[in-house]
Amino acid sequence: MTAVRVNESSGRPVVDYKLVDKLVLDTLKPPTLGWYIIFGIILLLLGLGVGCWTYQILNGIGSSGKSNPVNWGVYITTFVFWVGIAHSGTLISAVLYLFRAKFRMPIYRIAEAMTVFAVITAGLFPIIHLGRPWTFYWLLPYPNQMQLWPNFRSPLLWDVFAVSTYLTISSVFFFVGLLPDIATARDQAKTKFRKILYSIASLGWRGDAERWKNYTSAYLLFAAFATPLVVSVHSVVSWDFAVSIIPGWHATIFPPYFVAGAIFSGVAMVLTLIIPLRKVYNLQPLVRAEHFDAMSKLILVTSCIVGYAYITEFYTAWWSNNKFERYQFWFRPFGELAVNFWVMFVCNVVFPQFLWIKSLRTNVPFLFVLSIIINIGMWFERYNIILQSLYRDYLPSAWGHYNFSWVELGILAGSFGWFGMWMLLFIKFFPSVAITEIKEILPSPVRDPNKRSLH
Amino acid sequence: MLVNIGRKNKEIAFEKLSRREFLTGVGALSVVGCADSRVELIYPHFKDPEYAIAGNSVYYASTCGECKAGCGVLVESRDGRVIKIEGNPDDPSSRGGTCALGQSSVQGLYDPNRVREPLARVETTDEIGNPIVAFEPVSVNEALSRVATAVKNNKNRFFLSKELDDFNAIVLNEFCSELGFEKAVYEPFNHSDIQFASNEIFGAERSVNYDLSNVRFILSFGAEFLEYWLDPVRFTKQWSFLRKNGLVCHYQIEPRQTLTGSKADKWIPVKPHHELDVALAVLKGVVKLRAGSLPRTIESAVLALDEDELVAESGVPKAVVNDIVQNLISGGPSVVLGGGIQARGTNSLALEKVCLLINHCLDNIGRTVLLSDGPHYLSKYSDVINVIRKIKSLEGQGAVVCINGSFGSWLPSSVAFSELNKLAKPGLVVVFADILDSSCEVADIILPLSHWLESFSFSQKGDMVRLTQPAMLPLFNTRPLSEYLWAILKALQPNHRYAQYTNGHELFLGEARKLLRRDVTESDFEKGFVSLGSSRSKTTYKIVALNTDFLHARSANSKQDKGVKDGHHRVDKTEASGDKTIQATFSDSKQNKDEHHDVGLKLIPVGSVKSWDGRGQNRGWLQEMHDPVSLVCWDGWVELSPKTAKKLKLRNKDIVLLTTRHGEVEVQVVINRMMLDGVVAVPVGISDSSKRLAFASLVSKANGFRLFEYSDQGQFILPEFTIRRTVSFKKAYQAQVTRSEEGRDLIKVKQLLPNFGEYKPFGEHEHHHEIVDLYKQREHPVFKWGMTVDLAACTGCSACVVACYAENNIPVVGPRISAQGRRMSWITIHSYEKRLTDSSLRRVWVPLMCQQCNNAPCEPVCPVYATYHNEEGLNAMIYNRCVGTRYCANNCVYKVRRFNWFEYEFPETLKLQLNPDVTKRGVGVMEKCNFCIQRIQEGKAKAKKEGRLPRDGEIKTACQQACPADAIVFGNLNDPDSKVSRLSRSDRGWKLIDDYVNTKPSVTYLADIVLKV
Repeated sequence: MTAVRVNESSGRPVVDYKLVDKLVLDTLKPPTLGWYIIFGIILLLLGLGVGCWTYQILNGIGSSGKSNPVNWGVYITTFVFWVGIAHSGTLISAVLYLFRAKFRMPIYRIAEAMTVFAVITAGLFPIIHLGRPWTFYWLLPYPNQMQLWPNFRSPLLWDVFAVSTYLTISSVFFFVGLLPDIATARDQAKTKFRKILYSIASLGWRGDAERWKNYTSAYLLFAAFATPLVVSVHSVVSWDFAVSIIPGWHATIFPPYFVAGAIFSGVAMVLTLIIPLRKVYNLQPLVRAEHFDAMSKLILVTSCIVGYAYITEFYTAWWSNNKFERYQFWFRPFGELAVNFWVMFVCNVVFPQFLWIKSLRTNVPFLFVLSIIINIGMWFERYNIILQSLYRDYLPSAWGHYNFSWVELGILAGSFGWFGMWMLLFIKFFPSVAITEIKEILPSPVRDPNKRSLH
Repeated sequence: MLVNIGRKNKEIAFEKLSRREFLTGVGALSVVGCADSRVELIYPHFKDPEYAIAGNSVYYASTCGECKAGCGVLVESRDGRVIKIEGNPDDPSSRGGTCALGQSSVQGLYDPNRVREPLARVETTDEIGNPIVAFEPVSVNEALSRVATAVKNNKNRFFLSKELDDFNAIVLNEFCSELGFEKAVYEPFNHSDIQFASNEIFGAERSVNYDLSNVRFILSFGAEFLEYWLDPVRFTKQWSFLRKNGLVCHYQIEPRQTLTGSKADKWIPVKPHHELDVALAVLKGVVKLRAGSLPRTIESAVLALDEDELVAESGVPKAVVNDIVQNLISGGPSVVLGGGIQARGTNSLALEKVCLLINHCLDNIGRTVLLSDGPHYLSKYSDVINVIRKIKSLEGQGAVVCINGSFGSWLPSSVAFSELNKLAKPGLVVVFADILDSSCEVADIILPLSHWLESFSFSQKGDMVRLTQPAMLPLFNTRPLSEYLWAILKALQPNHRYAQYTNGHELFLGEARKLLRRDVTESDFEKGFVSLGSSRSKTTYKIVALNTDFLHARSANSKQDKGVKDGHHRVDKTEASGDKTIQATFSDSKQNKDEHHDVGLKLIPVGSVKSWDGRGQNRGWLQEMHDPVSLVCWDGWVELSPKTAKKLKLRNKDIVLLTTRHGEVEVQVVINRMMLDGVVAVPVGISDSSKRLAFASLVSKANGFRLFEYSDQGQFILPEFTIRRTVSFKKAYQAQVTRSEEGRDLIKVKQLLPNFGEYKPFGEHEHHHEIVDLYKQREHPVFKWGMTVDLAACTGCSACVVACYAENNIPVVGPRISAQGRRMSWITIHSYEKRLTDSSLRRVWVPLMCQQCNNAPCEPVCPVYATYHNEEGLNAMIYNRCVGTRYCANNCVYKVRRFNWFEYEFPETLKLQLNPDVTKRGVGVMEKCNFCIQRIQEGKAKAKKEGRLPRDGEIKTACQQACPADAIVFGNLNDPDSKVSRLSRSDRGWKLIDDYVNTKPSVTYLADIVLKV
């Protein structure tokens, strides 16, 4: 391969097909020591999580800190958190695809990977959270000789369908998008293992016009399929709360509020992932300031929606004249768990307001810090919703506490380990930036008279 | 057919066995693995007795032996093992009621820490030379012969005993008088003051009891007659019947509100041990209006009292005293009760006398105060002290000391009970014990006692003799006390009349024959009691001219109690090294009087339905149920009023070290609004210090008994004390975060207006919005089970809580898991403080169980249909189907669902108590009250067999059955004439939070009633 062309006036590399190929395929090179160290840490976290879960299964779900009035805690929080993270992937890949938003191209692959891995992480939590996790399949409507069926009125069952549908669609969509890129990787693969792997995974992709035609229409179709899921999945998750009658949960604002929150946290998570990736693999030519700017704007918009939802909740509580609601929304900012509330509010509403400043929108270190702050804030948002309402519901004599336990902490850390493990493996095995899509918006290569062919 | 139930070489021919005895023997079959080798069945149980059907319960009428009150009970026995205690509805006094302690006695029977065989002390030393004390099993014969030899060889013989039922007391009397034992009978919660007061007032030995069945005004000076005072179950029955109709007005005078006080129309706080002052003022008021009813000497002495001074000292406004006098004079039959733990000061004997005099002036004696000539077997606390003093002065002569009762925890540390073993040397200390409690530590020989559920006994109460019969063979190698005493007596005095009996049962029959003047028959046992007939006409009495010194006893009181009049209080902040301990020091000295002398903090003992004097200490059910006043479980506590706490800079749930000269406790602070400022209250009897008890050892350093010294009469002397915050691993837990309604107007209290039948509600105006249901409501074709809970009657006594544990196999989770808020009780006593007027706060007890909503929020959210609505209106639970998402518990408005966070095990012997009708739930499964569905099924099956529907009241839930106040009524709401239907239509009825959430509960609460505000 020839060297990278450099723009003579600016000194920057010229982004052409070759550069894209090189940059992206470089990520698939054998891992460095740094990768192994990070992977080791991630595996330790995962091991901690697995250990904690094993302990919890052996010892009983009581190893977590939940108690009588507060029956849900860290696990459901983390479930909602990961489902939320999963959200923006589909938004970026499908919805923005349909809207022809070009800024999605360098980030959508990582966002999609994140989606799939976040969903498989999230999907574990309802099972971890069960009192009898070995009976989790009872929630599935499978035919059985006792003719026992699940209760279709229960939001938890809707969850099962929502999450499993989402996992199916997003992974198919993810895989379809990957096809041409796997083929690219196949063509340049050096080792036998990779050759075989990519040959199988690319489903015999040849890159002829027929395939491209089918591919683009399939991609459009899946994008259209996936789009309603962006709204539906998190709406369904929000119904876990909204359908109940607990003050602070029983609110019609929940579906849009949750969807906005999910996009908010998901975009933040994309930033958290893409910034180090860009740095380590020198993807700066591909992931550029305008992309950060666009993502920052998306964060700012969703942050405002989320902030608006927070305030609306207080307003509705006041307007409802319902004592229980009113007490609940007094309790949130001023009660025993006020810290959680303010962490959530400051992280999700106050900090993102800095993005009104244009220079900060493209300031990568700032965005990285902000994205982590937002992730923390969004985790606390769910924590807040779950705990605060369960702490103080109808009968004051039945109010209670939640005692955070180390087992929950371990499993929470383990979930990051699980997610991180998939993420790191993915980066090393598959192109984490969409080669074909980036090429689509590049100027077509011009034939070089000295060479016989172009790639 | 021969059955060998032999107590060693004694065969009883079957022909001589009654059917009941045979059954009892046969019943032991199933526990034969636990019993010793005494049981040998020659023939198998191939032909069932007519009423022993496998899988069905047999009920034995008996008499509860937990306290002296002796309520009639039915002991439910299943396949030879006792599983539950039910109140005996035919019993003329307790009428089917029980208390928490009585309900828990099954756990006493199956206590894993019971002494299983006679034990003898073995003292050895380890390698380093430290003494090791161990107890090794010995045979009964060897143990008894060692005791008999010791009795023979020692001239000094002493017997310390707790109060006993009459049969054992008679045998004990005989034993002590024949063998020259010096006897002292004592219990910290005894009622000897009343007895001795009546002896002095009436000049004759007469038992005093009270009858509240037709009383219109109750004045109680600290007497907890609805909790553990004298005959609480009978009093609660009588009181609740009147109370529900608003017929009885009740004033309670005490420093810290008890459960009884919470039910009073007026709760009047009084300075500790100043009840006598108020009583005297009342007496004077009554005497003024009823001149001539007292002997002249007393009357003039009473009239000479200075009312204003009395009232000023007690802290009770004079207007209140006048109001009390008005009520006493003008109302119908009244009764004045005195006593209780808080009132047990050095002047409590005088208080009882004054109460009797007031009752006399009001002509209550014979109407509400009953006197009978029956025997009593009481002695004074001073006798106990004398015995101990004598043992101390033996100086190596040796003595035989027999102990029956947990004197180790009852006696103050100054008595140095634990040295008894050394002091009695070279004699012998014999301890009769059912569990290895603190007394056992001084024993040379421990003789295991049979539980009352395993023994025969009787007790006389008035003109009734109550019978106790075994409901199963002894679980372990144990004997009743009477049998041990009989055996020793027989061995030492072969000519004594007891020698004619060949076993303990014959001894019982013989003594019963003496009392009844006929043989005890089987039908007597079926009833559980024998009426002696009202041969005794109404007892005549007269007041003997007595010394009027007691009218001035109050001044003596103040001198002995520390820190009242002359005491001063100093709050020291120890500033050194940032140590934030707070010390309140008290002393009698006159110096430094300038600072804080307005504060006179006093440490007073209080009782609790959960602990009594500590007799239920090793029962998980009682430990785990929270004390309704303090909301604490599995621990002791110290109660402070908000003001006092502020002064001492203590907050709720702080762990403090409370130290007196006699001992210390490390407990949590409970802020209690219903107590006098300046009073520090500690419960007594919360747990024993003994490390041997499995359950009780989980609670350490909590027993308030350690803090007090007693006067010679056994009354509490309020000690000097310090209280300071400590750092502790103890986790403070209280069952409720708040008692306030938080402005929600959840609980209804109504005032019965003078034109009876009309109620005035408190709180916000009642709003009834029209609720429109969009969905078709469920139909309940035959049954719609419902319940009413009368808050006017509920005293918070928690008998229902324990009954529910017993009936439904609810696991005891222990202190650590309880403190995490994971107790499993299906019914809990919630409490609220309802503000009636600006100056009046009322505590309301709300037993909360599953409300069996018709629009149950728990049902639609379960993803697997583990909970569903059945066609009888119950929210049924399918434990097997539950996967444990806990969504139902979150969505439950009442938070009555309980989750199995762990796999809870039942300790070995406690397993025998499990109700075979109810499954044990595993880990990760939700459970909750189901209105005792097993009882509903049993009732329906029985009715179906007879081709009818269950009659109203035929099916009773466990909580309803246990309730001594009949506050809980259960039945079919589809039947408009059923009691539950009628009650749920009552003016006082409302459904909890239904107004707001439209859950349509099947439980209707009836508003609490107050007559005065």
